[in-house]
Amino acid sequence: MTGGGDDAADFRSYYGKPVLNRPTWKTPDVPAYFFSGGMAGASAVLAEFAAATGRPALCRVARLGAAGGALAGAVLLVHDLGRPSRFLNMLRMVKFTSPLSVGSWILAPFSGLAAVAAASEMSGIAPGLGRAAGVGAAVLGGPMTTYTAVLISNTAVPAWHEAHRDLPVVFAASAVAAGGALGLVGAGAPENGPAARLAVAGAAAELAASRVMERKLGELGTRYTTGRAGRWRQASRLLTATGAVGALFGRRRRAVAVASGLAVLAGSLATRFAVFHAGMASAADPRDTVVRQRQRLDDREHAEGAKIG
Amino acid sequence: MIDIRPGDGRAWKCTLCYDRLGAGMEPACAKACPTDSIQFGPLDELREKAAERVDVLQKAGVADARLYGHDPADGVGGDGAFFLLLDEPEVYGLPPDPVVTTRDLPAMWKRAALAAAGAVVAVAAAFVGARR
Repeated sequence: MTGGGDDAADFRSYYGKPVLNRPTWKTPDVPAYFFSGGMAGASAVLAEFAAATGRPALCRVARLGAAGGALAGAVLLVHDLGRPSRFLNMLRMVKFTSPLSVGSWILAPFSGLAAVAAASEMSGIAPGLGRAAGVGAAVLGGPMTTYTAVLISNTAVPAWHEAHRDLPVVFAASAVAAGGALGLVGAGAPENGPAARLAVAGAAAELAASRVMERKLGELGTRYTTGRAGRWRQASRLLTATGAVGALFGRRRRAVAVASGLAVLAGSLATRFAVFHAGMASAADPRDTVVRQRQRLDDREHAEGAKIG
Repeated sequence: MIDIRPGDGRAWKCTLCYDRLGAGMEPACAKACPTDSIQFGPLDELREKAAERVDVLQKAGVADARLYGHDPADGVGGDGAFFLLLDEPEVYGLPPDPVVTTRDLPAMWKRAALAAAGAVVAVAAAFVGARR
C-alpha cells in the first residue's frame, strides 16, 4: 500500500467477506494472559536483582508477582484452550516452527520454578532451593516477556504479521513497565528505587515502541489507532504516561507510589488489549489481506512483463 | 481449519474424510458434489487434468480461466486442494498472493530474543547506582 489512491477503488473481495477466519482466541483470556505472562517474566528478573542487591521486600513482591502472574497466565491459557489436558498435550513434543510449542516449553518450567521460589520465600523453607529456583525463573523471564509477540506475529493477520519486527519490542517494554510497577506497588520507599526507575523506563519505551510500530505499519497502523483497539490504546497511553510521571516524582510517598504503579500496570494491560483488538479488526477486513498481496502480485507481473517486453 | 466446536471448544480441521479413505471411498464432499466440481485423486494427475481444462476453457473464449494453488513453487508450497477460477482469487474470497507466515519465523525469534535481552538489561540498569 504505497499510498496509491486507486488501491481502494481497485480492491475486490467476495462481497466484503473476510478472507481470514476470525482468530478463535477468547477475550479477555488471551490479552490478559499476554499481560500476566509479561509481568511475571519481568518480575522474575527483578526479584533476583533485588535479592542480589539486598532488597528483601522488593524481592518478595517480585517473586510473588512472578509466581502469581505465571499461575494466572496458565489458568487463562487453559481456560482459552478449554481443557487442562490440552496444555499437557503441548508438552509431548518441542516444535521450533510452532511458537505455541516453544511458548509452552517456556511457560511450564517458568511457572514451576517461580512457584517454588515464591513458596520458599513465603514459608522460609529451603531458602537455598528457593534461590536456585528463582534464578532459573529469572533466566526464563526474558523469553517470557516476548514469546507471546511471536505467537501472534506468526499468524496471517496482517496487522500482527506485518508488525513482527516491532511487536516483541512493544511486549518487552510493556512487560518491563508492569514488572517495575508491581514492585512500586508492593515495596516501600527505601527499596523501591529500582522498581520506580524500571516502571518509568518501561513506560517510556512502551509508548515509544508502540508509536514506532504504528508509523511503520502505514495504512495498517490505523488498526491500532481506531475502533476498539484505538480506545484501549488511548486508555493505555493516558494511564502509562500518568503513572510514569507519578513514579518519577512520587516513589517516596506511599499513596502516590501505589497509585502510579497501578496506573502503569493498567496501562500495560490496556496495551495488550489494544494489540489484540487491532488484530481482530485486521482479520475481519479483507482489505488488509488483499490490497497488499495484490500490489505485490501486480508488481511482480509488471517486472516479468518488462523482462519479456 | 473448519472452525471451533462450540460445545467443547476444540478446533477441527478437514481430514479429507480420513476414515472414508481408509475404506476405499472418496471424501464425502467429492462424492456428494452433483456437478463433479470437487474431484479427489493424486495431486499430479489432478494438476494435469486441470491444466487441460483451463486450456479448453481459454480456447472457448473464457480468457480469465486460471488455476489457483496448483503451483508447488508458490508462497505456500502449493495447496493440497487447488481451484479452477474464472476471475481474480480475491473475488472468491481467496488471498491473491499468500505466503506462509513461518517464512519470517527465524527473523521473529531473533527479534524476540533481542527484545528479551533488552528487557533483562533494562532491569539490571535500573539497579545500577540506585539510591535508597
